[in-house]
Amino acid sequence: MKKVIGIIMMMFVFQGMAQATKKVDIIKIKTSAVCDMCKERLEEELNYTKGVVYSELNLDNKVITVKYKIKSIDVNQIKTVISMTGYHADDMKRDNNAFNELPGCCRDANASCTKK
Amino acid sequence: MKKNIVTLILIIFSPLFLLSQEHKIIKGRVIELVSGGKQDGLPGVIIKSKKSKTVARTNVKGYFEISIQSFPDTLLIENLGFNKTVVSVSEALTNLVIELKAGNQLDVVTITGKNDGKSIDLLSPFHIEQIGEGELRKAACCNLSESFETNASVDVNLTDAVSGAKKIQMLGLDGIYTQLQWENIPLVRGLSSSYGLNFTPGTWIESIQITKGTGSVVNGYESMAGLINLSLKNPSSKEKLYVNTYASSMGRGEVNIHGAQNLKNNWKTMSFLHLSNNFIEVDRNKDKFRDVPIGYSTAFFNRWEKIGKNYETRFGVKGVLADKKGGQLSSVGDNQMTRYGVGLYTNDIELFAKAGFFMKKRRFGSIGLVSQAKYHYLKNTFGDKVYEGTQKKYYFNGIYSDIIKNTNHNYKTGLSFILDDYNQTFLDSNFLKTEIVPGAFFEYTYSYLKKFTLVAGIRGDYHNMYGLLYAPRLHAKWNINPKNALRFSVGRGLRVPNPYSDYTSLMASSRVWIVDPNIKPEDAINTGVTYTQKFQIHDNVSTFSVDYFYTDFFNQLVVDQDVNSNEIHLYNSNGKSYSHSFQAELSVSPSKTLELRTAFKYYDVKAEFDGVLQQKAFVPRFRALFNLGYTTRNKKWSYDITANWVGQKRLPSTVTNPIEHQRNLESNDYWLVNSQLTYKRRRFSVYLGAENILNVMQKNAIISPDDPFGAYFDATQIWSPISGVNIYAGLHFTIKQKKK
Repeated sequence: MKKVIGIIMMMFVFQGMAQATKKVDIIKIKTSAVCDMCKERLEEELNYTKGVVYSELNLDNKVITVKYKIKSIDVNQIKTVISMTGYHADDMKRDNNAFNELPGCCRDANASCTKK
Repeated sequence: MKKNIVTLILIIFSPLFLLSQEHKIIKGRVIELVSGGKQDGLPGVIIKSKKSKTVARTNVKGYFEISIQSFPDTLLIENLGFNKTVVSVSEALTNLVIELKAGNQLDVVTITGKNDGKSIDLLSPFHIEQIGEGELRKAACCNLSESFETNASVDVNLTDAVSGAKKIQMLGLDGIYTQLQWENIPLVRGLSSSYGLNFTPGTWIESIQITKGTGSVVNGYESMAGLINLSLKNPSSKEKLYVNTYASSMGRGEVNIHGAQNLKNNWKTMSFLHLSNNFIEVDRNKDKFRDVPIGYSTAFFNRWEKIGKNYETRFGVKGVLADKKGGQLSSVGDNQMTRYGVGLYTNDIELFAKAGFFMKKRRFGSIGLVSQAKYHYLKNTFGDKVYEGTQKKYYFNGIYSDIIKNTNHNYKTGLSFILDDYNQTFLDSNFLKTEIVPGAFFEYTYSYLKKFTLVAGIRGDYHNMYGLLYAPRLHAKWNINPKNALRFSVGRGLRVPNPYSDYTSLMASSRVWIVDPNIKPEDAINTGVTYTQKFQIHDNVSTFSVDYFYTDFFNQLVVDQDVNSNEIHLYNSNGKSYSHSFQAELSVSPSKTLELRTAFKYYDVKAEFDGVLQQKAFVPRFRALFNLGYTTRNKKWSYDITANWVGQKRLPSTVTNPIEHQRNLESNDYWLVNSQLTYKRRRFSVYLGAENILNVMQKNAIISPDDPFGAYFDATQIWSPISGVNIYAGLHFTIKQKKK
């Protein structure tokens, strides 16, 4: 019995250690992306950002899922990348210069937007 | 965090909300910008909400009201003649203004969606498969003939053992029965029909649309087995600058450069340059013949376009210069009397111009004009056989498209004109031929709520040599539910054969050509049924499709190699000639990163040779295709593997040859496996691939290679790869345009 408890204890310890050394994390960020062109831009921008493992934007709810390496990048930096691409990221407002550089259909959520 | 809590509460209580909640309403207007910045409301436009599955229709002035169950939702606005539009809505609105932009009506084959990979559009009345750039990149090499290697509907084969060229087959019928065009301009036709596919570089192609069976009458009377239309890259594509290099273990090196530029007054231009060279003699099968010719091939293309509010215009120039030398190795000696040489020289230049206008008074009326002038010169040498030809060509097609009363009734009508001036010399004979073909067509499209579409077309052409040729065609599509499509097509296709250019590659033998001097146009009825079903596995769309096509020739130019192994006979089929083709294809995405495709095909292609109904030579009865594509979630790495299984083929009889030059009457089945790995960065990607990994090689591909000027030499009896595995590597470098 003691052995069993010991093993369980050990497992908790290991789990704790694993948590302490957790290298990657996943975050979901609400963006202002509207169309497939936005999706392509955002995903590409993030995928080629150092520290990002992958990024996937769901156009139905505009949420982008980003898996990243904790050591290399943090959530705020990820949001900055999104903002600098021209989109809102949760509470962080988009960069207006970048926004103005976006193609017409990505700029106005209420205007027509051709989906690829 | 606050938001998360709110979301959580919403999720927990959402069932209650649903019970108590009233439908939310979005009010708005669908407009079209007309000249002078004025806005016109569009009546009768259907608006669908994606999630709530509600439908609304605009009133006379373009206003609409649609109820939505929950936000966010997506509104889908479709109207004939306009681009499909999608609007995301996240809250109830009372003044949503949706502007529809007039669709590109110049392109007769309208594709209502773009996809990176391969897709079948469920809405089109034609069974059109779309190969996008993603799919094209899976097989990095090199030209149009190789762009179909991951596609099940089009088969690719070597033409012969000396030219290194490839040809296509659809429905078990030779590629000449498939009409090829680029952006609705004729592409491979007349003198270029044997080797023309090899002159369109793969990197120029943005997408390929494959229609099985007869195409629309608007495009002419020639499509019998299918219609393939290429969309080449244009100044509105993503690329600003693109550089591609390629090198292979077969000794081929290639460079492609494209550049696009925006100029003043909405003018845009794009230029393309393609250089390809085979440096090294390769002879893997040790028959002292080059497996692929050495020499160069260059192509250039310059196009201009201006897209205004009510008109658009495009024009440009395209050219090819190629000089390839195959045949026996140089170690055999350079005495032209004893060394069997193959020379493939081609020079092609074309000018094209297109224009489109929307009518001022009629909102749905538009005019499209297409014209092309072309000069093609070729000189093909096979040992002591020389085939030389010049083709001067002019092509015009004018299309008027409009609706009758409402957008459920649409029609296209117009006039076409073709002038083909041929001057050909084969051995000592000279053939002069001028074909003048004015034509007219009318095509009516009836659509019922996008569920049912019927296209009925007829065209009549007056050929100066063969009189009136008329081709009626009928296409119907029915979406039993939004996830499937059942299509039916029947139509007549006609084609004036040109035996020497259609079968140039068969000159690579000692066979004596015996051509019926009184060749008649080839004439066939093609009937087909296709069924496509889409379904979802974890949000990923999968497709299942089956099709059956039957082509029945009233007359066909039959190539008969069975009479005698020293002769090749080309004559009008007096008896039966037909093709049954069945294909089933399943394409599945079990996860976001994985894509699997498998296809199975059955061909029954027979013709009466000298009164005896026989299976056509070199067409397998069974074929299968397996494709696996894997892309990492960050899209940086992608891996692709394609396996083609090709069943046994009937081979022409060689019993009249001495025993050592006889061959089996049936080929072996074989597997052709290609694979490619791509690594992508923001601006460049590198790829490494291998073709024919299993190193399949036809043994003794050439009959009597030691005596190429003797009576039994034959390099045309090719049924599998002849040169084993080919490893290649390359690089794409792209600078994208900032704004589209």
